[in-house]
Amino acid sequence: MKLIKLIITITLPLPVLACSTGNLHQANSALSNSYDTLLAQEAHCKNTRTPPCDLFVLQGAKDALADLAKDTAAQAKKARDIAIKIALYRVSATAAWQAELDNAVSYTNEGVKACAENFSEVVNHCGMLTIIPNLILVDKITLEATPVLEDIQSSAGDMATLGQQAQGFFDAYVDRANTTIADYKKLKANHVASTLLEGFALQSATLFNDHLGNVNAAILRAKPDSYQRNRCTRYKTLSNAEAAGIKVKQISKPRGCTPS
Amino acid sequence: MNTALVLAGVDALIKLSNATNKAIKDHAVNDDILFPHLKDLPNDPLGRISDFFNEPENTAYVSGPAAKYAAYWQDNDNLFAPKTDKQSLDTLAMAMAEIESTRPSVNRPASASAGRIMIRQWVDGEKPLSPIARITIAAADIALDYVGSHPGIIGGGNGARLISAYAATLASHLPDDGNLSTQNDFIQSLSGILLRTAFDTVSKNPDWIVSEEHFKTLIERTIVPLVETFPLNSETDKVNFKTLTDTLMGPVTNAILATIADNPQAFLGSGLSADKAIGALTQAVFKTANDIGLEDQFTRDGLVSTYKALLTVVAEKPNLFIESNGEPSQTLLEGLLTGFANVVRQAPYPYNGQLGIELSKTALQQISTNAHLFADPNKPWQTTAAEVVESITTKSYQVIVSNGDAYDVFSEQQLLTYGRIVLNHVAKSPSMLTQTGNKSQLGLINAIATSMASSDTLLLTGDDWLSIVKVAAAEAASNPMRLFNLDPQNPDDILASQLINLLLDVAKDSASQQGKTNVIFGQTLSQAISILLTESAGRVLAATQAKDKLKEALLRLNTYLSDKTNQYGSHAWLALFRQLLVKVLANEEIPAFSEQYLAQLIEGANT
Repeated sequence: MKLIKLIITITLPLPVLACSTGNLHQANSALSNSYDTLLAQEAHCKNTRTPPCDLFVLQGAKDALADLAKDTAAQAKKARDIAIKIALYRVSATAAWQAELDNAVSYTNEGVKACAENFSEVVNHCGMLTIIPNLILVDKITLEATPVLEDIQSSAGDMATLGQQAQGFFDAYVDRANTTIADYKKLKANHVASTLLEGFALQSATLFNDHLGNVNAAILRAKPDSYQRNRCTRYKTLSNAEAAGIKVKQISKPRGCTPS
Repeated sequence: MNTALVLAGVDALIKLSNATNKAIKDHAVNDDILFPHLKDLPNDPLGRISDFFNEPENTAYVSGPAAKYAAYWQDNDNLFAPKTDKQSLDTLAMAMAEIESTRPSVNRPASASAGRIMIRQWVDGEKPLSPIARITIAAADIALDYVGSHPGIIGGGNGARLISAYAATLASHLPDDGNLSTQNDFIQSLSGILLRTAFDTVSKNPDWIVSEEHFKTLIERTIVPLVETFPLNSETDKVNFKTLTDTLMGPVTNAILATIADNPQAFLGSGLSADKAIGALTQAVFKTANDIGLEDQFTRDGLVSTYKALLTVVAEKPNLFIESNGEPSQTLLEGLLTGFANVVRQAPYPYNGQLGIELSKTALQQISTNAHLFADPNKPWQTTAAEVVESITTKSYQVIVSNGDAYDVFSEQQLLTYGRIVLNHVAKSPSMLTQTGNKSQLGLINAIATSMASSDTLLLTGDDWLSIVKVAAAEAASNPMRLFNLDPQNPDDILASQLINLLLDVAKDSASQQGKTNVIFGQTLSQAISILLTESAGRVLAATQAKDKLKEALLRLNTYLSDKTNQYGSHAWLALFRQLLVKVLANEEIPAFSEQYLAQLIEGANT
């Protein structure tokens, strides 16, 4: 009798686990494929102003990611193994982020909750779940800022109003940059893989090196009185990032900045 | 690598649930993590210019008494920045480039990242999995899906042989240090798909005895050359290849294993022709898919369907695809797949979908079965097969153009049956084909199409037409040069068509004279056409000479019967028709109709 119990105990979880790992493999693969399609189509649409840039295909790629976000969240909810559950939530959150869902941040909530007591067990997936909400917000700012910056560059519209809007984006980016620095420190403290830290720093460079500078350049065109103050803020932010260990562009301390 | 060790490893992993759980879970959870890049903002060169001239070593160019570019710069208490007009920015950009070019180049931190990053999760200091661990875990991961429902699948049976073959093949292709190249990665993942499908096939066909050697050969001949053939140098290459294999590898491996399970004797014999041909065919399907693209679902379905049909042909007649040097003919296989894919893609509605795919399959299977009959040095059998399908679809399209109602008569199933009847007969009797230019044409198809184009859709149903086609096809196959002889100069003017049209005209006339009491339609009409074709086939000259006389007699009969519809039903009309036909073909004169003469004819028909 004991032997039968033992056999049942040993063999029962096998198919269940196999099923979950299979789901995770598939979800990872689907995320990678859909993201590649999205990137390829975005690049294509950026480079070709005339057809065959197919906005329908672009939307199709986002829809596929949105479906993946929902499906994977449902699978994560059912998964019994905590590591697989969290890894699936990470896939779901990444897919929601790339699908540009309005409620993308909410896709990270369950994963973050599950990580609260299990961070050290699934450190890299929890690390991703920690930083994704902030990255979602950075991309949201970028999506909103893009048409405003294009208008400023082509002097289309009321520059005072556009400059005001651009300043709002600059301030929002600074907030996100500060959160990024805090997240980086948090990941470091939680001993995530060095490859994840390096990847985070590399991808965040877009925010530190490009976004802050580009928005402030637009402000120089539309609302120059804020430009010098923003340069100081940018300098301080980059210095803080560097101090935290994130490799960023070196800029000189602008005139008139108070010591950081 | 000792494959027994892998097998023992897999077995152990499955038996020891804790170890299995951990190994499998770790493998899945420690997969690389996708880290997308942040979205880009529109780039503004102003930012870079400002940063450059704000550097202490460059401020002298824009500020101070000797500043060369001060005119383009704003320098006051509140602002130290470029002027934003176009001329200033252009000048400063040129100046920046000039200054930079005089200085030694320095490494600057990367700007916006171009794309995704994959985060490898191996903990610092740990090396990647060794090949044996990687193969063992991958094989166990696959086997686990089946072991629950088929507990004995590993222990010394088919599953064990599959894993041994898989491990042995991979071992010879993966580097010992465990650092896999892109090609290695693809070989491993695609072999895994084949292994998974093989497990699936074994679980559905427990009687099938797997040969380890054969499964090894299968991986070597299908997966390995596939990965080695496609370029995988750039990210775009990799994404393209992955998209291609994600789309096709599942259906392809399913088709391969199903064919092998259905035809074990073809693959267990001493010769390797079938394996070679399967390998070459698999290369061909991927290459063709890459060339023609798979965006359209029917192209994809058509290609997979043609591939499946060809696998069956390979199983039955592998030597059809092997050249004299013993190697498979890649050109022939690619030509076949492309040819049929194009026929379906370019076919008019409704042949540009499932119907065209089914017809292509039938053509391949039927004509390859009798490939020896199509031994024409100028035209291989596979070209003829594609041309016959093309001929059916093109002619049918012409029917739609000239008689829009004709297609209301047919369901897709009936059109498929029509095509199958024609193809069955062509396969057995290639002399039915006439060469017009470079294309093979069929008098039978032209004759039927010409008649359909002019027919009144109320007279014959789809099934009635199929009855006619059956008789016509049988006659055409027996005597292609008689009723269905096709003049390349005038390919639609065929005796069979003239005869069918003759009866269609008579039926139309009867319908107009007798209205609802007309009997010459449906089965009666199709039987009359069948009788006319059968009788005329043996006496072509007489039929040619007598057709006008026959038509005249039948039209007279219509007029005579117009007020006697209650007396002569379809049975009686068919008897009269048969008797009149015999007399006309014998060159007898048909007198004016009377009750007595008709009674005499019917009596003659009954004796």
